[in-house]
Amino acid sequence: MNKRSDMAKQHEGSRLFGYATHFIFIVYSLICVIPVLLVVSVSLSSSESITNFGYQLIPETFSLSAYSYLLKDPTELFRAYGVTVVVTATGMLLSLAIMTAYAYTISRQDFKAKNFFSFYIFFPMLFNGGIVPFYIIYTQYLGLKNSLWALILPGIVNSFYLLIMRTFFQTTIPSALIESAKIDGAGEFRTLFQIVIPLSLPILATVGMFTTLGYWNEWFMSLIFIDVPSKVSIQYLMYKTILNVQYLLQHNSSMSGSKSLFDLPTESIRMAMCVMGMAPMVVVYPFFQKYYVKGLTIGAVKG
Amino acid sequence: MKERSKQVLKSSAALLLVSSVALTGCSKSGTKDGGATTAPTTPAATVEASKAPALAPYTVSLRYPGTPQKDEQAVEEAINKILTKKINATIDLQPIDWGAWEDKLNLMFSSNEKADLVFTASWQNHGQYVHKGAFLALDDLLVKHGKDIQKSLDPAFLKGVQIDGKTYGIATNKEIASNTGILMRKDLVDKYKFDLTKVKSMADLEPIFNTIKENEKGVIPFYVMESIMPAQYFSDFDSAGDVTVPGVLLKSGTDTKFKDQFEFPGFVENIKLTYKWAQSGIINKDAATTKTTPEEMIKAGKAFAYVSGLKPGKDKEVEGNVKVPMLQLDITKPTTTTGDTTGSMLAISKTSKDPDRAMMVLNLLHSDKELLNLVVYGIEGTHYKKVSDNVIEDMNRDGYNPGNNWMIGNQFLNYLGKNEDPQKWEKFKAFNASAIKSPALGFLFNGESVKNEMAQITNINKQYFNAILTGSVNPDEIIPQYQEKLIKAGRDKVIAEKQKQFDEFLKNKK
Repeated sequence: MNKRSDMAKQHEGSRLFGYATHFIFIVYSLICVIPVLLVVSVSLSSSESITNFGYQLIPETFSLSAYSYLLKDPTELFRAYGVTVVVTATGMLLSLAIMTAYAYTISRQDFKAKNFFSFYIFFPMLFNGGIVPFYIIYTQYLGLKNSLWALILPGIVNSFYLLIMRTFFQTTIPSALIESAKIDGAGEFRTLFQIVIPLSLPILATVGMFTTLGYWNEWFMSLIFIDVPSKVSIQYLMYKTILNVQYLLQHNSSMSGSKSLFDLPTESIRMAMCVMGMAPMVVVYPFFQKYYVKGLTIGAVKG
Repeated sequence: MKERSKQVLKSSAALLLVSSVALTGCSKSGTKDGGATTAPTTPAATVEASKAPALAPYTVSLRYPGTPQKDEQAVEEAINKILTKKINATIDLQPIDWGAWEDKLNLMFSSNEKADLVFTASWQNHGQYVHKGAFLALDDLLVKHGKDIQKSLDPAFLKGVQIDGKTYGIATNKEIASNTGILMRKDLVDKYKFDLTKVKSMADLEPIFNTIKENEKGVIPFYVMESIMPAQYFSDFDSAGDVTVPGVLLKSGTDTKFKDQFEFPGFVENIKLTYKWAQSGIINKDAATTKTTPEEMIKAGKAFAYVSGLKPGKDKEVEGNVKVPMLQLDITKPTTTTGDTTGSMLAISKTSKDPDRAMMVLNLLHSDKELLNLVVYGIEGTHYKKVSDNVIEDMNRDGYNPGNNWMIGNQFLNYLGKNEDPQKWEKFKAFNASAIKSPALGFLFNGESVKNEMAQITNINKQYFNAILTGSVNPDEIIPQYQEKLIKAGRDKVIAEKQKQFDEFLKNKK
């Protein structure tokens, strides 16, 4: 009897706990989702209704004018999409290939120079030359100004991800496994491609996703290396609009009104650009996530 | 028979082509050793025109802030036709987005990238770039290749841009002065028959705004936002550089002493007035935070008036954007400060491979009407059509609309828009001539030695300045707080430094 009521109490407690957790997470997801919804709905408002009533979740007057303005001449937008897709895909594949090779090599205990190469990749996390030498190397020695490679190369090797991969290889893949492969007659490449990589899908998926997101959200490289509008990434295309607005407002009084503030895009156009920028990622993300979770569980079961 | 003669024609044409290519090849290689070095010694532009083939081809880059245009290449080709004929040069327009401008310029200078003509202005850290040695001193080049510039530019422009006695930038020839006033909707002024002749100061506007407030529901009588703040515009201050740096004097006065801005009672009065108006509903409630421009508000029919720096024909310019008849009410007298004379310049980068040629192009931008209008308006028949000799009408503006006419060359040579006053440039000249010259004209403060104080002050300003000047906080309470923080941050040291530099400037001037 006593026991039962205890159990009931426990149930009660866990139920309450469940409600509380749900409540907290519902509130949390609302906090995340509402701003995005607001951006979407502002992009669908007419600019008069924004000036008159401010931002509203349900627009006072509904209007597609921002999108029709953007799509009136969508070449710029689609080109920027194209650039981002190409850069992201190439960058992610190259990045995974190079980082896996590097991380696997320095994870092997029998590699003599592994300490040196680990340090070599670790050092730039603490110290780097800063932006000016970086810029000089890319523009004057590599001649990559206005080239898509200037958007791809900087993101290819990330010390932090590389070290995570190394640790993963060291801890989850027993050296005995590699040795036995060797005994069975597998060469180095066979060991890597048929034994190590299949076992490392979780880390590859994780790092691959981070790299993809990194490339997708990158705008700074476009800002400093690209002068021609046809080669900028979608994020920069949007970011520059915001930057332009800020800059012109800030310097308005100095320019003594020489530059008209009127040709700045309206709020709804800015928001519409934002929606156009995030839409593909929102669509793609669930697929990624499925793969990502699958990768993780494979790791868990095997581990 | 016919066939044959055609053949002959063809082959002789080909021969002609080949030989002419070969000849130009010769002249190219011939000038490489001699031409570039002899060119600088030729004195006048007219002489150069006849000597044009002697110059080696060179591409002059022109960097300015603005949105890159779709038809840029076509426009460049049209420009190149003129430039090749005159000085055997071509142009490379390099507009850079406003938001990226400062970053890119800094990288360009620190990495020694090749550049020729570069836009610069006092509010664009021109002084700093000069101190870092990013620009060439242009005095000799100006004498050699800048005859037309010297002829057409007002002496105040030529002298006013000098730093330590040397010229590092050539001002764009445009209005040299500015005054403050109100831009307002003409329909409402007519409706209530306001007597604008009585308005002599900011305070005189109150009855007008009250009428609007009472009778026009949903219209903000006086629209205020960040950087469009009445007390600042009416202040009559010359801060000899960045407006956020403490230490100002009155530009229409004669006193040569820099003081803190709050020591001027007129300024504090106007701030109090702003606060009062914000309280009573004359000024919009969200003034400190809004990002909606007054032009958008007026277009939407939500605002009546806003404060603005003025020049002749400003109302017509705005009218073109907002599509509502506008009226400008000039309240203060036009004044000229260093900020006005150095508000827009073109400089030659020290990384230019051929500064002489860059100067020749600059000279042409100040004198060749056809060339300049190509740069600012695009190609006739594509981007605009001529209504009469000097008046144009827009055609395909999507292709080329760089909005750079106030940055490049001699604005007085620009064609006029259809809705603009045909007398605009004459009025500009009269306006320039009537301007009162600030006692600190020609002086530009160099804040290098008080950098730390200035950084602190900038932070404090961010917190207080806009809030106070948009009337969002009670000035009686907040100004003393603000001042106390500024004094702690070293305000007086900055003012003293400014005064020291200015005294030196005055001494050298005599």
